[in-house]
This record gives sequence, structure tokens and C-alpha cells, in this order.
Amino acid sequence: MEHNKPKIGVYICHCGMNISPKVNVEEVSSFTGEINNVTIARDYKFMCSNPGQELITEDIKNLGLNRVVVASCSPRMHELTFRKACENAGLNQFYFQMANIREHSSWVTKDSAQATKKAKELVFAAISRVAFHAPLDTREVDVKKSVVIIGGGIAGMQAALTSAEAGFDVHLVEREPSIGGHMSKFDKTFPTLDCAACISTPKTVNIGQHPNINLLSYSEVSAIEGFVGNYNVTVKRKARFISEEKCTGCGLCTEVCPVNIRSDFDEGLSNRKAAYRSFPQAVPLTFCIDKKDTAPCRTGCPAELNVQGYLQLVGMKKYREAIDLIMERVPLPGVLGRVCPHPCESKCRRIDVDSAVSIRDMKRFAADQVDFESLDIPEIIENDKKIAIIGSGPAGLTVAYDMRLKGYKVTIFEAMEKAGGMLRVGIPDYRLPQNVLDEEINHLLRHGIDIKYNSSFGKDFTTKDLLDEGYDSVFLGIGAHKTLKMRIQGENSKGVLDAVSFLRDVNTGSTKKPGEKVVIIGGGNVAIDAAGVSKRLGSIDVTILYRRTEKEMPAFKEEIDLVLDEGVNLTTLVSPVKIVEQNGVAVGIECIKNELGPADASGRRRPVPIEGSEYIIDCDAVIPAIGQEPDISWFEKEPELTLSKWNTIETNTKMQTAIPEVFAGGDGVTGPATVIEAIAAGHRASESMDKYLSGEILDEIEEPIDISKENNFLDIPSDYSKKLKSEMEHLSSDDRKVNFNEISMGLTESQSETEAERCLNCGGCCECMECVKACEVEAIDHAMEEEEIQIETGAVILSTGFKAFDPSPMTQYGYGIYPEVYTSLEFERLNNATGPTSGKVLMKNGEVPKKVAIVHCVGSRDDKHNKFCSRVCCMYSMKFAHLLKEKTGAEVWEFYIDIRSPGKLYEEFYNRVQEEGVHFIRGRVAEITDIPDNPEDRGKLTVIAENTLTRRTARIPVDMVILGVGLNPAEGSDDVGRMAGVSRDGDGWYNELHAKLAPVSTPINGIFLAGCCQGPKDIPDTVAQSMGAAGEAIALLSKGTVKTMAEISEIDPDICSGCKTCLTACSYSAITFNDSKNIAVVNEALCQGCGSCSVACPSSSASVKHFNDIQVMNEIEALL
Amino acid sequence: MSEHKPKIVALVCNWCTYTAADLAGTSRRDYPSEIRLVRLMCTGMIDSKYILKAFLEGADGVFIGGCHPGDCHYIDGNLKAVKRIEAIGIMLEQFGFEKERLKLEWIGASEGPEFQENMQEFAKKIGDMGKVQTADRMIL
Amino acid sequence: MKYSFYPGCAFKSSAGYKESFEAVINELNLKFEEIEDWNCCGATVTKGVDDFKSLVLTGRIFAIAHRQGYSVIATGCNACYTTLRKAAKKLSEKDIWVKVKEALLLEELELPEKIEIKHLLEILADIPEKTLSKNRPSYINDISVASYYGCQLTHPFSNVGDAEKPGIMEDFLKKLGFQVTEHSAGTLCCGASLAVPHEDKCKILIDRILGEIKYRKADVVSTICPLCQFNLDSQNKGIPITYITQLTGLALGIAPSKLGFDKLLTSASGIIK
Repeated sequence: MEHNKPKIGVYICHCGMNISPKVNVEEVSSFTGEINNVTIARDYKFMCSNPGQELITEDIKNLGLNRVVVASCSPRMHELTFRKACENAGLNQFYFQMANIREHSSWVTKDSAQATKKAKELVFAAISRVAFHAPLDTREVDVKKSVVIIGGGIAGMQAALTSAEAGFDVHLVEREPSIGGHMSKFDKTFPTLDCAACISTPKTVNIGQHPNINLLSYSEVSAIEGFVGNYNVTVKRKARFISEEKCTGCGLCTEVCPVNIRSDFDEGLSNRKAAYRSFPQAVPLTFCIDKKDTAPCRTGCPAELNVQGYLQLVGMKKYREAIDLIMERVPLPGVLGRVCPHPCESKCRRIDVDSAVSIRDMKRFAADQVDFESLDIPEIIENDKKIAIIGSGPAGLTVAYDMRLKGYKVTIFEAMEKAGGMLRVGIPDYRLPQNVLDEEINHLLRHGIDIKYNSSFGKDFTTKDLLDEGYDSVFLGIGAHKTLKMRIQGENSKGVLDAVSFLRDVNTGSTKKPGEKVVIIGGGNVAIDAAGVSKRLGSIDVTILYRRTEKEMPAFKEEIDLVLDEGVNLTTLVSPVKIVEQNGVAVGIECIKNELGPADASGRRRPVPIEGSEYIIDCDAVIPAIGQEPDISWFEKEPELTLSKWNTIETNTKMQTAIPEVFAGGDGVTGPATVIEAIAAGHRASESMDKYLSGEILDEIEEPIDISKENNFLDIPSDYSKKLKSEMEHLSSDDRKVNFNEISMGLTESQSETEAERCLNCGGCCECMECVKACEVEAIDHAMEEEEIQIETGAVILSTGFKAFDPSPMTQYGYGIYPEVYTSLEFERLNNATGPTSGKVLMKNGEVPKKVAIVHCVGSRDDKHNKFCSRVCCMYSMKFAHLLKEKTGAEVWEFYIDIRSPGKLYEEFYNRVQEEGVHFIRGRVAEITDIPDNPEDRGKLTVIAENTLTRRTARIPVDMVILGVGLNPAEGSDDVGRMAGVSRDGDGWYNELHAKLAPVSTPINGIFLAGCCQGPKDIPDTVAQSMGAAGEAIALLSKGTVKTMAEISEIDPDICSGCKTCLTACSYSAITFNDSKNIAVVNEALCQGCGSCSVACPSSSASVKHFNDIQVMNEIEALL
Repeated sequence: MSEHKPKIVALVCNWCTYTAADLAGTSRRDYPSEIRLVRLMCTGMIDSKYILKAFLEGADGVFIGGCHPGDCHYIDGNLKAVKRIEAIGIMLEQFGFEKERLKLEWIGASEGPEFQENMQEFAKKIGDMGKVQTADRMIL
Repeated sequence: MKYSFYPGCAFKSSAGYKESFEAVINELNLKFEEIEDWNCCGATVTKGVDDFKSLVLTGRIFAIAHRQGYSVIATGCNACYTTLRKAAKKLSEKDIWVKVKEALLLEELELPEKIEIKHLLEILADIPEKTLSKNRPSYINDISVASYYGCQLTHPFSNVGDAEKPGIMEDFLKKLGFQVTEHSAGTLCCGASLAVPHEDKCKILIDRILGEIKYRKADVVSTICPLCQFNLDSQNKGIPITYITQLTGLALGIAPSKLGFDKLLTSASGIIK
């Protein structure tokens, strides 16, 4: 605060005719002259001119002024000018204040008297304020001579080159795998018709090779912090899965990749592979693998099988590779390919199009093509530990296979004569033939796995025996082989056979039919299997009784349907009451009818018996199949193991039982479940066992699964033709009722191709690893992770470019409805030699168009979409007309509102195109329709517009329509804007500092703009602007230092009480706390002068220099 | 319609609303001259004192203009202002000033027309409300 | 739900609209109460004569519906629909609303602050498929229907979807069990009331519509407005032009004789079993 008396000089500007005569400047001047502390008051025509400024400097020197007020235009215009004038006269520039009497008075007040009055008040306020100004100093800070450029299109590339040539370090960040931007998609550029690739390739190559340019492709900026000259930019480098250093760009990976994805580069007109490179001249030339989130079929499989991968391999007819991939998680491919209930298919996104892919059948198809005996056995490097596995069902076999591959010595103890568990003795041959089981189990055993048959747990040995014998760990995969009792009278009569024993007998060779008239109780797969088997053994009448309705039956629907087709009867809503026996032999079963009551704990409605509805069914065999539980006859011999109330073995989440060395999994732990769940349990158990045996601690804490994440899958293209899933042929019911031959015949080869094609490749890359096999320099690393790097830089240039307007909402133009309506970018791709038609202009039916309409102003100059003119569309539309004439000789119509051709040689180009015979119709297109006016034009599109020059409606039938779509800011540019602190205008383009005088700068010091991100423009203007932006950045940083802001916060250490409120208020973390002095301190380099701290401070010790309370309060008081 | 010519102070942020006011100026969009602007760096810089001072000095209305949420030049200064100004409004009512005499509005840098509209609306509203009732009883 | 119903002048005299409407709402147990002493809506004509009076005219309709206890008015005619909608939008402006309210007070009518206008098609389209499929005759699945919306359903502004391709009628027809013929003439102008003084010019327009529909091999056309139906039917191009309610009635298993098919100029005997 200055204590000497202020001597204020006040200068009222006429600003030519802009302030005066609306504001009576002489009146203001004389009014001002009367105010206290005003030494001199003058009015002058142009204060900002040299003579005007000299008035100030002279008065300061001669009259000893120590404060200056200029009443003229906006401080945003000339504050710096007048501040400099003060400095030149030796007066601290902050002793200056401006009153805005032009933008805020003369220009916005109708009445002259009122404008003058307001001007007086504003001047008085300025005078009152300036009396309390203090001299402030700016400091100099070191800056880094480096630039980060966000966006690698022509704008970013040019800025990079110019900055690099100046000796600056340049970091060019581009989110696509290669630089080049939209320009690399074009064929020729207007008006000179240079080939876009020819003129941009030298630049892209230069960037790739320039020693000062660090090209960060496939990367995105995630944060920008700091201040001018000292920015810290965080860049996220996306995982390419291919090493930039090693890749030679040979393209073998893309040849073998089976996954087709719609090409964004080709605007959706063609497909590319998941391993791809956007275009042949890409810089860098490194290929890229497009991986999304893991496909839902993979995450939906309990055993995490790479479904997408093997589907694609089968499609490529690489059956052995498919089986290798499957066996990584599912060691019994053919088995699961026949009996799995396919939870993957219920997650398949193809359901949203038509129906799921036949995933299970594809697995079976692959297994059927491969001779398991001819598969290689890998070399096993044995360790010194041995594992005992009890039970050779799917859980036990999986543990055996996993552990064997890890090098353990494995011995399986199987109670029955053959391996397979329930697979062998539970599932009938017509669903799972014995030879399939033999082939696959033998393949597993051939890895060096020992198996002892007829060895029964509890009877022949205990876990203690095994551990004493030297086994380091034991796995219990005993399954659930005991049928639950119905607990009704007569259950022990002759003729009542429990389902599990029944099926086991048949599967081990018995051909005895259970009876003539068989009744089966239950609704699960076991009941269905029992029914099918009974029929095949010759029982005449087989009936399944289920206590709820068919909808609630837990058996697989396909199995139910097949067995009903074979003549099995199904009676629902009925429960057994008792077996009717004669002399201990069952002759019938008494049943009672049910109705469904409210839901029970499982969510299914309880069956409630209807009183008095009992009746008797005659039969000579009853097969209860109401559920299974593990056989626990061994329990007495195993006092340390614990059982649940359902008689299943208890384990912790790591599959470990109460005995640390003993693990368990499968039906024996969960109760009856599916094969795939048993396999998944086997994997979890072998993982735990391996960890345990390596001495690692088994951590019980599970990581919670993040279900909130939105999944990033490939989009489903809207134009997929519907094709229902391939269904296998089955033996006819007549053919199958009499034997145990396999019912389903498997997919045909052509069906397998279809199903692979139907797969949407949700996860992008399917991790089939064919690319890894093909790459000769080992450049591919599927485990590559995203990287985050920090770059310290001096300035940032935003060159995020544009995106083309999407005309889909304009349904009257038919884009996305009629195939021959294209956007301009799509048409560019048709013209480009690297595009979908190799540069030939062809319709989708392969023909050359004879008549083409080009529609201007699509989405631009439109109240409903973009009000602005996109500036480039007239020129590129005429370019298209010329190219069409040249390449096809077609008749071309341009439908325009006005022709905008303002650049060098642009008007001449327009004339040339007219001379080439292109028709120009001045009228905005109203509609594009497929309804022809004349029958011979059927198949063409009719463009309807009013020809405003002839005042007639034009209805022109054409083969192809090109929509001249406008420009919008690029996707994600709003996020980048926020990171940089740059605001956007109403249309989303970045706000420049001053539209005319500072078009490449932003209000943020050190952040510059180049290219279309600031507003739509053509290539010449873009290149010019980028050079300008680079120039501004260079100018700013070339001296090595910049001046800091003076209007920043200060904290009076004498008053500060150390409450720390300001620390939390500061959004820039610019305030630190000095613990020893117990006061807050402002970091002058980081402080931006926003004032949050000064308002938050309860003791008024924090204030913003040049905007402190005294100054502002005096200004307000003076205004009122 | 009151004869009283209202005195209105507008505390506006440099980056958005002041710029919009300049834009209104260059587009010659006029508004009542009783509105006087005070240029501050951010609405987050507006201390309660400033608003109270204005009213105590005889202002009939105080208008506060800042950047749209998300666009604040200083990240979130404008958001800090919201709660503060709401609280001040409640306090003003307790002292006999109508809450409507204090208005907070977001006006972006390119919104010249909106600035004019807001000024015209506010001036009319304050004009209709007349002089502050407690003005005669204030002891300064 | 009970709706207020504004029939409009052409409703009762049109070729089967009234009969089929009553049969369908009876079958579906929908309640519609006709507005008491309803007056002409003014259609496209009155606004050009006297803007304010035309608003009072429609305001009277709103006020009576309000008096009968309704806040939603349903109508089966496009012109009535858009006229009432435009009026409701205009009346949402406070100063205009106040003036019209004052005028109606003279008849002791109270103009409601808000009124919602729905087309009959919107109400039918909301009915769940289960209700619609109860007595569906099997031959419905073999009939392909082309939807003709007319222009005033979605112009000048649409409350039912995209103005060029609304889709609401096709979705409803699919729910009813019909095959749907896709074509581009759904919202094309038929000439409307100019078909009388400028018959030959409107004939070109109608030929375009029906020519396209016939090219796409539809069996029958479905309309939702008496004037649309009349203009298309009057050209007698061999393809029957029916009301959506008539087709709804067929799908619900109602006897064709109750649906007014005999009033059609172009016979629909080919599609009725």
C-alpha cells in the first residue's frame, strides 16, 4: 500500500468516432479534472497511438505523475500497451488502471447523456482504485526448450518439423497407430490435385527420422500440469503388443491373423485384421494388434477357455492348433464338446444379432478332426515331488494333467476298472461314446501319468497311508456317486433301482432292461439319461415323473426334447407317495398331484400336494433319480477331514481340506455339478497345490471382481445379415431308439466355417498366437502392458484436428439406408489407391457409376446441426466432380447453396470444373429417395432439390450420391481441452486468444493451437497456422526464460494464523505449509492468481496482488 | 413501473463474462447504462465483503457473471463461488434485502447476446423491484 | 386408462374407421369418452384467417375435455392431431394462454394450463403383445402391410420418432403378427385437400405413393387418418387401403363384418378370410 499522495493523470480517449461523440469526452475530462488527487485530465483522439502514448510519458516525466488512468477501450485490448508506456517513462506498470468506456459504455448505451454519465462513473471508479495500487515486479523463470504436440495430422506434423528445425525437442503424441491424420486418407488435394500421399509422405518420413522428434504413436495425453515453460505432460502409451524396435513391417502377422474387424481407416468400407497397419506408408511402420476386453465367452467359461481363439483356428482349419489351445484349459475337448451345457453360449453377443455361435459343437468338431494318438507329448522336466490323485473323473484328470506338465510325478487311484468317473459310468454312450473317452484319457495318461485301478479310497488306503508312503500332496476327486433316497415306503422293494447304479451297470456292459413299464423319478440329467437308456434296453413304457413343471426341470432342454422325441413320457406336477409292492416286489407306485405354491429358498416355486388326488401308476421298475451325494463310506477312516451338512468334503477357498496336504474339488466338494465346473475346480486345486508345494503361503483373501467396469468390446456392425446358429444333424428317433450309437453327428465342415464367421470377435485379437508363430523376429509380445510416461516440456501445441459430421440423423438423405449414399470421406477412400477398391470408383455392386450427385452443406449452415460453414466442402466437392469426370466420365451434378472458393487458384478451379461440363444446381437438397419418377430409373436414387435459379424443382435420378459432410471437433478434443485449460466455443472448437490478432495462442500462456481444432480450414491454411503456432512457441521459449505473472497471491506472514484453509482451497496446489514458522507460503511459480485462497482466508492474510480488498472495495464504492 | 433508476454493480470474471461483455460491445448490443462492471479475475475471487459493500453503498442489485461449470479458467473457481453466493443470498434476506437482488449467472466468452439479455432482464427486474426497502434505515 | 376422444369431422363418415375403432376398443377394454359438444378443430384453414380465434376454437376443445376430467386427448385423425398439438404448443406461452383463457371464461369454460395430445396410434402401440395375440387367426402372419403415415403425424414436429421414418406403425403391425413391407413412401405428400381442386396434380403424387407400395409387393396399406385413406382409396389402384383399427380388429379375431370393410372403395376381400 502506497502512503505517498497519489498524483493521477487521467486520459480520456475519443477512439476516433467510437467513444466520442456518444460519450461527451470533454465533459468527462473536465469532470475528472475536479476530482481529488487528479493532477491532470486530458482527452485525445487516439490514446493508443504513438502521440497518445507520448502524452502519458511526457506527463509522467514533467508532472511527476505516479498513477495513470486511461479511459478508452477494453483492457483486454490495450492494457499492455499503456502499461508499457508507463514503464517507458519510468513508472511501475502496475500503477496503471483502465476504464472501459467503449465496449462498456459508448457502444452499448443508446442515450448519449446516459453514456456520458456512465463513463464518468467508470472513470471515477478507476481513479479511486488506482490510488491504492502498489508497484509489482515480475520474475524470470527458466523454461525448457521443448514442445509437446497433441495430434499427428498435417497440423501437428508441420508444427513438429518447424519446432525441431529450431533445435527444440519435440514430442509428437498421436492416438492412432500411425501419424498422417485425415490427409493420409485422401487421394488428391485441391486445387492443384497433388496426390495427398506424395506431399505428406516426405513430412511423415522426416518426422520418423528427425533426431529431435520423439514420435509417440498409439499414445494419448492423460494430464497436463504446470505452467508456461515448465509443463509436465503425462502420456499413456497404449499396448501395441508388437515391439517398435523389433518389428520390420513385413506383414506376416497380418496374413495369418484370423480376426476381421471393420476398418476405421477405410471408413467402414472394408475389413482389416486384428493385427494390422493402417496403410502401407504408415509411420511408424510397426504393425499393431487391436485387443479389446476379454470376450464374454471366455469370461463366461468357468474354466476360462479361450473360446474366441479356438473358434477362429477351427475356421482357419488349423485343428491341431485349436486342440492345443483348448487343452490349455480343457484337457478333454471331445468330451466337453458333447456334454458341456455351454454357459459360454449364453454370454455370446451374437445373440443380439440372431442367435449364439455353436461354440460347443465347434469344440467337438475340432476334436473329431484330430487323431489324439498322433499328438506330440511335450518334454516333461521332472521335479522330486509326487502327487496322489483319488478319482479319475474330470476334476482328478485335470489336476493330474496340470501337475504332470509342471513336472510332478503323478499317480491316480481309481476305484473302478476304467478311468473317467461319471463320464464313464454316468453318461450313456449315445451321448458320450466310450472310444472318445478312451482316446482322450489315454492321451493324458501318455504324458507319464500312472494309474491304479480297483483302488478304493477308504477301503484300500487312507490319506495317511498315502502321505506315509511319500506322496507330498493328495487330491480328492471322489465325485458324487450315491443316489439320494426318496425316503418313502417300499423303497427297498425289488424292482427299485437307484439311477446311478443302474447307469453304471449299463455303462460297464449290462444289457438287462430294468422292466417293461419303468417309472423314473426326477427332473435332472441323470433322470433323462436313465429314461433314454431304459428305452434303448427295450422297456416298452418309460415315464418320467417330476414334481414341478417342465419349465423348472434342471436337465438340459435339448436332452429333454431328444428323449421325449424317442417316446418317453413326461408327467409333471406329481410326487411319489409310496411304492406298491407285492411280496417285496414293486408292482406300482402311488403318486399325488401337486400345484405350485410360493417360491422356496432356491427361487423355485414349492410343489404343494393337492389333497385327495392320490392315484396309482402300474409299473415293474422304479428308478429314483432325485439327486446325488458323495459316497462317504470312507469317512470313519478319515477323522481329520470335515464334511458339510450335504456330506460334501469341506475346503477353504484355496481347495485345501482340513488336512493341509490334502486338497479336494469337483462334485465331491460342491455336490453334483457340471463337468466344466469340475475342470475349473481342478485348475484351481492344481494351482494351489503347486503353490503349497513350492512353499508359498496360500492367501485366502480373494480379489473382488470389478463388475462395474463397462466392457470394451468390438462394436457389432449394424448391417450383419441374420443367420441362425448351425444345428447338428441328429440320428432320427427311429434310428436311435434301438441302439447306443451316438445321437448327434457333429457339424459339417461347411457349418464349421459358417460358425467361425458368425463369431463377432468381441475381444478383437483372439490370442490364438498364430502371429507369434509367424513372426520371424520375435517382435510380438501379448503380455505387453500400457505404459505411462511423464514429459517435462516448455510449451504444448494442440492439433487434435476434426471429425467428419455423421449424416445418419438426416434420414431424408438416406445415409445408412441406401447403399449408394456415401460421405465424402468414404468417397475419398474409394479414390485412394490403398482403399477398398484400389482407387477405382465403383459402386457396391462392382459397377462404375454413370450419374453422380454431390450434395453440399450436409450438416453445415444448418440450424438443426452446425450453423457454421465448414469451409472445405465446396472445394472438395468440386475436386470429386473433377476426379469423377477423369476416372469414369460420369455425368455429375453439384447441388450447392453458395460456392465458397476463396483461396489461391480456387476460383479458377471452380471455373475449370464448370468447363468440364459438371452441372451446378443452386438449391439445397431436400430429399434423396429410391422412389423413381420413371420406371426405367428403378434402382437409382432420385435427388430432389429446388433449382432456385430456374425456379423449378429438380428431380434427378443418379447412381451414386456423395454427401459433402461438414467438420466437427475431433472426438475427445473436449477432454484434451479441459486438460490444457483451454475453453471451447459453442461449436466445440478451441478458443483462440484473439480471433484476428492472436489466432494460434490461447489465454493460457504456453498453450498454442494449430489446424482444424481451432476452426475448420483447408490444408494450406492449416500448414500456415502450424508454422505460426510453432513460431509462437519458439518465440516464447527461445530466450530460455519467461516472465512470471505479477498478479498472484501473497500471504502476510505476520497475520497468517496457520489454519491451512488456503491449502485446500487452492486448485493448483500452489500453497505449501511452512511447519517451522506455522504459516502458509505461496509458490510464486505455480500460483495463477485466481483468488480462491484470499476469499477462503479467515484472517485476510491472503490476498491477490493488484486485486486486493482495498482496491476492489474502493472501486465498488466509487461506482455507487 | 418505478421511477427510481436502479444502481446495479456487476462483478464479472475476466476470462468469460468480461469477454462476453466486450463481445456485446463490439456487436453493439445495448443494455441499460445503470449497470456498472467491475473486472475481477474469477468469480471465485469474489469475497462476501464485495457484495455486502455494494449493497451497503446503495446498490439495488448485484450481478455476478462467471464461466460455465467445467470451463473455469482456474479449473473450479466458479464452483467455489456457487455455494458462497447462495449463502450470502440467504444472509441478505435476513437483513431485509430480497434474495433476487443478487444473481449469479454463467456467461461464456462467446456469449455476447446472452450477456445483453441477462443485463436487460436483470435491470428490468431490479427496476421493477424498486429501491431497497431498508435503504432509508441503513446507518453507514 | 381412460382417454378423452376427439373424433374430428371426418371420423364418423369415413370408410369403416368408426366401426373398427369401436369394435377394437370394446375387445381390448379401452375406455374412450367423446368430448361433449366438441367443435371443429379448424384444421389447416382457420389459423390463416384469424390466429387468435383459431386458438380459442381449439382452446374450447381443451377446456371441455378438462371439464370432463381429462388431461390427455386422443384423436384418430392426423389433421386434428397436428392442429391440436400446434395449438397446445402455442398455448404454452403464458401471455397467449392468458388471453385465450379470458375469452373462454365468457362461456364459463376453464382453459387448462397443460394438455397432452396423443394419436390413437400411439395408444394402440403401447398395448403389450400378449394382449394382442390372444385370438390371432393364423392367416394374419401371411399378410404384408405397408404403413402410410401421411404427413401431419410427424410434421411440423414429431412426437413419435424420426420425422421421415417414424417406425411406430411398423412396430405395432409386427406386434399384431403382420408382415411389414419396408418402403420409402410412408410420409410422402398425397395432396391432402388439394386433391379436389387439383385432382390431376394430386393424382401424380398418389400414384407415386401407391406405385412404390405396389412395387414392394404389399398386400394392403394401413392408414391413420380419414383424408389419407380417402385420397389413396379414391384412386382405386387395386390395393386395399385400410385403417389401422380395421387391421387391428382382424388380428384380434373380430369378425370382418364388424369392421366396416364393406365401406372401402377398393375391395379388401383379397386379404380377409
